Parts: sequence; structure tokens; C-alpha cells
Amino acid sequence: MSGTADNHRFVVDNVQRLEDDRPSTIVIHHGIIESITEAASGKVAHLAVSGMCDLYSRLREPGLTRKGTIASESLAAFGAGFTQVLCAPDTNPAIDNVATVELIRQRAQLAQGAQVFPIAALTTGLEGAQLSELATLQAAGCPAAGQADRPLDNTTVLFSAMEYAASFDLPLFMTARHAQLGVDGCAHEGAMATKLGLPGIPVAAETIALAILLEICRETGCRLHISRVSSARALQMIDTAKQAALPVTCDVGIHHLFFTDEHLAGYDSSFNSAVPFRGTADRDALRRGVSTGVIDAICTDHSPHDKDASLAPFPSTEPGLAAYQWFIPLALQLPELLDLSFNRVFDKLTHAPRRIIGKAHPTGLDVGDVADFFLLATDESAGTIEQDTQPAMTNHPLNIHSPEAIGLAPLKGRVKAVYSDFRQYHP
Amino acid sequence: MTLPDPQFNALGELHHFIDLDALDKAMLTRILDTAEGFAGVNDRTVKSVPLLRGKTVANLFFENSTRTRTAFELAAKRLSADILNVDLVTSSTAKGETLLDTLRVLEALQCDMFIVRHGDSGAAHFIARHVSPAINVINGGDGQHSHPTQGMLDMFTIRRHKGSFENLCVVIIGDIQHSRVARSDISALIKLGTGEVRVVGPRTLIPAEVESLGVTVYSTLDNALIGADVIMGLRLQKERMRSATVPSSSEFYRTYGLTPARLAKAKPDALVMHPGPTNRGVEIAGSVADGAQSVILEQVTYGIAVRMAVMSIIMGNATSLRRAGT
Amino acid sequence: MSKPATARYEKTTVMHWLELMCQALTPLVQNDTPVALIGIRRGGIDVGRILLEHLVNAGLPVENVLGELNIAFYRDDFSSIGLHPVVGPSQVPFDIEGKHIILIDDVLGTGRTVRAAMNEIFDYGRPARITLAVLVQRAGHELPIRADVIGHSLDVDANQYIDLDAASMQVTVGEKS
Repeated sequence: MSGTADNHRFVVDNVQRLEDDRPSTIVIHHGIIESITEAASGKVAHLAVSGMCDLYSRLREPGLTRKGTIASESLAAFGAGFTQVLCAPDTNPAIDNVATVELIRQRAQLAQGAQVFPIAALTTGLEGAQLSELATLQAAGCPAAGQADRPLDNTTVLFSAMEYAASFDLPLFMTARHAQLGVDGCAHEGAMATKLGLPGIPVAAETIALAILLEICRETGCRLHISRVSSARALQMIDTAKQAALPVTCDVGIHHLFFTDEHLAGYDSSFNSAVPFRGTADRDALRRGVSTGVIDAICTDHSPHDKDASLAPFPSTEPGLAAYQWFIPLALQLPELLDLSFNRVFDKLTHAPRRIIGKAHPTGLDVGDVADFFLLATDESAGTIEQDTQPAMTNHPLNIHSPEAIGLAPLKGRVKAVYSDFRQYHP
Repeated sequence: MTLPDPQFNALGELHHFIDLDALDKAMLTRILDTAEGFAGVNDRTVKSVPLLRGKTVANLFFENSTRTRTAFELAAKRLSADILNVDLVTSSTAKGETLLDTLRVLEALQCDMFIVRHGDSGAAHFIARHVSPAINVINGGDGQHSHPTQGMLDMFTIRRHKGSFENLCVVIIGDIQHSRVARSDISALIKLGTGEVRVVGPRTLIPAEVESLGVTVYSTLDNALIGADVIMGLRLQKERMRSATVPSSSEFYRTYGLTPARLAKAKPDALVMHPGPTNRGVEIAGSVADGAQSVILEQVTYGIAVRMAVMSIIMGNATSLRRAGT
Repeated sequence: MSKPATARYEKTTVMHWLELMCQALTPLVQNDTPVALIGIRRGGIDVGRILLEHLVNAGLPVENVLGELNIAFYRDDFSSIGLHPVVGPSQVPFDIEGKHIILIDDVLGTGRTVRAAMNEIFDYGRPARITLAVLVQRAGHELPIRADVIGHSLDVDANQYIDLDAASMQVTVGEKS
């Protein structure tokens, strides 16, 4: 029995917080956690985990609403346990003006799903020529700025943008991808791309761009967050930068901890990703990076698509996986895969992301906090697409393949309830 | 591969001819043996057989190619099939119609077989996965991935001259990176048990981790040719100069052109092959292309018999599928 | 005519049938139209070789090479059972035009094989005439085709097979499984 409601009071019974070793009863009143006491029964029905914060997600609205809306995607995020989501700036129009920021925040509020923080477009229209009004956008609620998947090719503009952002202590979320090198590529440049005849994205496209970003970071002191790392070499460079005390952080998309370029066999476009799935050695390095802490956080890189996006030959399909539907079952495989405690894995999804955007607020699971947590059933087998509420878009390999077929253990784990925004939500 | 291979039907027989990776040595040999049967037909006065009478074959070329299209057309006609040439370079796809919609329209014409050439690697796989089960698809070349009939006719040519592949040293020169012909040749050569397959060219034209395909990489042509039994040239497209992978065709000729002097380093009975069209003075000296060791024109002739063999085998498997009630 | 359920005909018997065929063929060859022998793969090749040897040794004016037909591309059952495994390409190393062709097979049954062989011959050229010579003619014809020269006739049921083993020159009749 997980919760009973009585006007504005929720009693959440038999749940265990990750830092505890016994179950508790949590009482929420008017959205605030009134008390946490030891559960009488001593039985654990579910785990209670702080609401997760997604550092990179595409909500598609405004502009690409056939692929998703703020309402549908923020609710999908919420149902997966994310109470906060940073949305990518490559909407249409791009998030380079206050009106768009306002529209996004209002739509998110109406949807009553995850709280949405827009990432500002670093340059107007993401064109890479003129700076956006970064200070104004920051004041309007953007916790960071970035260029989405459209790297700057003018180093002068990049330097200037990073220097300017540093004036306002605005962190930049930058994906390390060179503007010209491998620009036509659609797969990791390696044995699989060679066999399939697919134009490749070499590791150098990431590392050369990363070198430029790190050097400018050193010169300007701009807070740099590398969004969605993909290669072993890039991790080495970030590790060196951190050891030199540069203000650098980074995250990895969850799927990059599971999949490699070998999954592309047979032109499987469900593995087409803008940040490519690289070789096995790279994936293993990313896993070690999470374990050792070189990688600070894990994001979803959520990319919902309409059906047509995948109905073409591989190079013409649109890249990206819709991440929320299968996120929790995949995340629950990480403690074993990474040889990391449950607590430390979920820290990469909850507190670490919040630290990066400067919102290291109360955990949401302590007495006196505004309630911000979700209940997790770890042993329930993960739902199929028919069982769950239909997510808006279903472009994900697990909607085509069984877990075993793509090298995963059987999937388990479900979000049973979310307590946030002064209410109780059942996905 | 987690996705089922679309090339095989429910009985495990070849239904589409997309790439050579999925075919075993026995199947490749069967194609070559069947092609032997058709080679004789092309020497007769009446150069056709009634095997595919009443069937319709459609050439769906999304990329220009007069040579390949003509070869398939001739092969179909020599099997007594009707042929339909659909020019898709300028038509519906240019108007924004998706590939899938174009396919549905063409299926409504009730053809039996599609020969497809497309600029995207994986296009033939995609079409094979989505086409109606009554239609067989032959890949006439998809992006940089595969040109399986060219691979087979190259194997046929080698087998005609050399008998077996076991102790052969085959050298492939030039733009491996962008060549679907090279990938198909490599796949077939390895599968047929070729002694050694070498690739040689400037590093900018050698694909990443190409050794994983089973080949040895050489950087100097002179070294690569020592002991060669078969030399295969590849086209160098002008695009390579524009994209800064190769400075000029004259420098390419100086460093990797097959000149008489270089040819002399190979075995005296080495075969000179090229999928065509050849750029004289770029990939190959004119005198070598026309010389005694060149079998370039034979490749063209054998291409008809090989395509007839592939079309017959696949069309035949479609009928046995119907008989099995599947 | 006999109607055996299973039977084996030894080499001496089979060679006797071939001798009968040669005797029947000899007068047909002694005229001024040039003659060539063509065997249908596979069974007709072995019979054809023996007949050719007899005729050549008898000093008769025939083409001294046996033509060989692989009728895989002319069969009428492509639509139901697909492409038969290819048993080597046809080889007709002489001109068909204006010749008297002796077409040879081991067993004549439905007549479809001969129909296919004749269609193929006509794609090589226009023969002056065709004489059909078979080692065994069995009951069960489905087309109006009859052999001109027969080694032996066998009245067998549709569910029985007749098989010539080239190595031993034995003919076996048995039940199809």
C-alpha cells in the first residue's frame, strides 16, 4: 500500500529511501513533507527516490509538434520519475528570445508534468553568428545555454560566446562535435560503418572540438558542461582538464552505456543517434567514467519522433531514441553493469544534475522539504507498450527487439507514483 | 544481426539479392555455375531463353547509370521477360514523395521484380524490408555499400581464367572508401576462399578498420603488386578532388596508376580488371586497359550471364514459395 | 510388353537394347543429309556416347562429337518449382542449320523433356529433321511425342521410376517413395 489521500494529506507507507536501511512512512501535507517515521510493518513495498533531473531532452515544441509537445513529453518524463527536465534549444523558433521561454514554461505548468527549464540558444537561431541575449534569457529562467547538435564553426564567435557567458556565470552545455569534420557522417567511423558503407563520424570530430572548448574554458573561466560524451579519448581529455581544476563537467546519454556501433548491423535505424554509438572500447570507457566520477551525470538525450522519421534508408532516417518509456528498466541495470551502488547510480540522475545547474536544492525527501520524489518497484517486470499508457512517440529499439536480442538482461522496474508539484501522480 | 535478414524467404531460400555478406560459399558457387549455363546462350544465334516469359522486371534507378541499367535490361530480355525503365532521378522523389510512397505506387503496377539503384547505403535493405512479398528485389548498387551483381561477375571472370580462388593473390587499387564494388568484391573473394586480398591506395581513400573485412592494407602500389594474380582497379571520381581527399588525377596516376612498368611487377599472367567506366591516365594506362592481360571487356559480357543467373534463381525461388503455400 | 513391379535389367540386356537401336539408326544415317547426335542431360549423354561410338566405328558419316543439352532454361515447370539445379551448360559444338539431328534420351515418359529439348535445338538453328531415339519408352505420355527408335518398351505405373545407372549400364525399375 503506497499512499492514501485525505484532502491535502498523503500517507506513503512502507517505502525505503536509498540512504536508509529500513522502510519508512512518509506523510506529506500541503505538498511539504511533514514527517518521516519508521514503518510499522518493517516491509518494503517500494523504494523512494528523489525526483530525477534530466539534463538533455527534446520536447519538440514549439515548431516540431508532429513529433511531440511540451505536454506529452513533460508528462512522459514525469511518469519516468523525472521531476525536472532541461529542454534543448533547437526548437522552432529556437530558444533565443524570452517569449519562447515563457511559452515553454507556461505550457509545462499547464501540463502538470515535469518542471521544464529551457536551455537557451547560445546564438540567435542557433546560426552561430550573433550572440543571443544570454543575460536576459538567464533572468527569464534558463539555467544554461548551448548550441544543441549544431556546432559553431567560427572559433572567434565561440570564444566570444564563452567569454560573454562567463561574465554572468552562465554555464554552457556544449556537445563536442566539429562543424566540418565528419559532418556528413551518420555512424561511428569504424568497422561497422566500413562494412555497411555508411559515412562515418570519427572520434576526432569529438576530440578536436573538445580541445577547442577546453582551451577556451581555460582562457575564459567559462563554466563548461560537455553534453553527451561518446568516446574514450574525450573522457581522457575531460579527466585531464578536471585535474587541472578547470570548471568542466560532463554527462553521458544513458543509451551510450548500453549500445555500440555493432547494434547498427543490418541497418537498424532504431540505433541511429546524433551522438553516435561508438565501439565497444568506447562504451566500456564511458561505463568506467561513470563509476570513477569523471562523468558527473547521466541524461536521457530523449528524442521523440513520428513514424515517418524511421521509414527511409538508414542515412536518411532522423536520429534519436525516445527515452522515457524504457528509462527506469535500463537505469536499474546500471548498478550491476557499472559495479556501483544503487545510491551512487541514482545520484548521477538526481543530485549531480541539480548541482550542475546550480539548483542543488533540498533532496525532496527530507522533513520540511517540498515533496519531490517517486516510488520505484524494482522487481516488477517492465511494461510492454500495450500495458503502459501509450507514450507519445515510440522510436526505441526495445519497441522492436526483445532485451535479449540486443544484449540486455530481462527488464524490470516501474515507477508507481510521483510526488511533486504538490500532488500525487500515478503514471 | 538482430533484425532478420530480409534476403531470405520463409523456406530459407534467396528471395532478394541485396549483398553478398549473407550468402555462403555454396550459394555463391551455385550462382557462378548457373551463370555458366547462361554464358553459352549468349553465344548462340538466338540469344534468349523462355525462362521468364510473361514476367515483368522494373529498373528503379534513383541514381543515373546507363551501363548497369542497360546490362540488367539486356539480361531480362534474354530471359524473355518484359522490362520497364522507371526514371526516378528527376521524377517523384525530386518532388518530395517519400521512397516508401514511390514504392507503393510502383507495386500497384504489379511487376514481379525490382532492380534498384539508390544513393543511400542500406537503401536496398530498406526496400527489401518494406516491399510487397510477391516482389523480388535485386540491388543494382546502394550508396557505398554493395553492388552484388558486379561482385559476382568479377568472381565469374576470375574463375573462368584462374579456375579456383584458393591460392590467388588479389589486389584492389584505389578508392576503397567510396566503392560499393570493392566491398562486394572483398566479401565474395573472402567467402570463396581467396588466398590473399590486398587493398592499396592513399590513406584518405582506405576506410577505417578495413582489416576487419579480411584484407591486408598496403600503402605502396609497387609492393602490393608483387605476386599478384588479379589486379582490380576502381574508378576515381572527380568528387574526391573537390573534397580534398586526393589533390589531382595526375598525382593519383603517378602514385597509384596501373602503368605497364607496375604491371610487370605482378605475375606475368595476372588479370587486369576494372568495373568501368575506366579513366585512362588516372587509374590505369590506356595501353594496360587495352593490353593482353586486360579482361575488362569480358567482365561486361559476363555481366549479362551473371545477371541472368541471379534473376532466374530468385524468380524461381519465389515460385517455389508459392507452391509451398507460404 | 511386361509390367514388372520392381525389376533390374543387367548390362547384357541393356547392351542388347542399344544394339537394337544402332541397327535401327544405321539406315537413317545413310543418306546425304549431314547427321549429328545430341544427348539430353543427364541420362541421354551416356546412351548418346555409346550410340555415337557404334556409328563412328561403323564408318558412318556423323558429326564425331556428341552435342549435350541442358534443358533447365526450357522446362515448363519453372512457375511451379523454380529453377532446377544446373547440371552444366549446354554444349553444341557444331552447326544445327540443315542437319539431321538424332536426339537421344534414356527414358521417354511424359514427353515434356523432349518438348523442351526441341525448343532449345530450334534456338540454335533450323534442323533439316529430328529423329528421337530413346533407350526405354514407358507408358504415360502427356504430349503427342513418340520415339522413332526405341531400345525397349516398358509398361509401368506412374508411381514407378525407371533409372539407368551409367557406371554399371543397368536399368532398374522401382517404386517411388
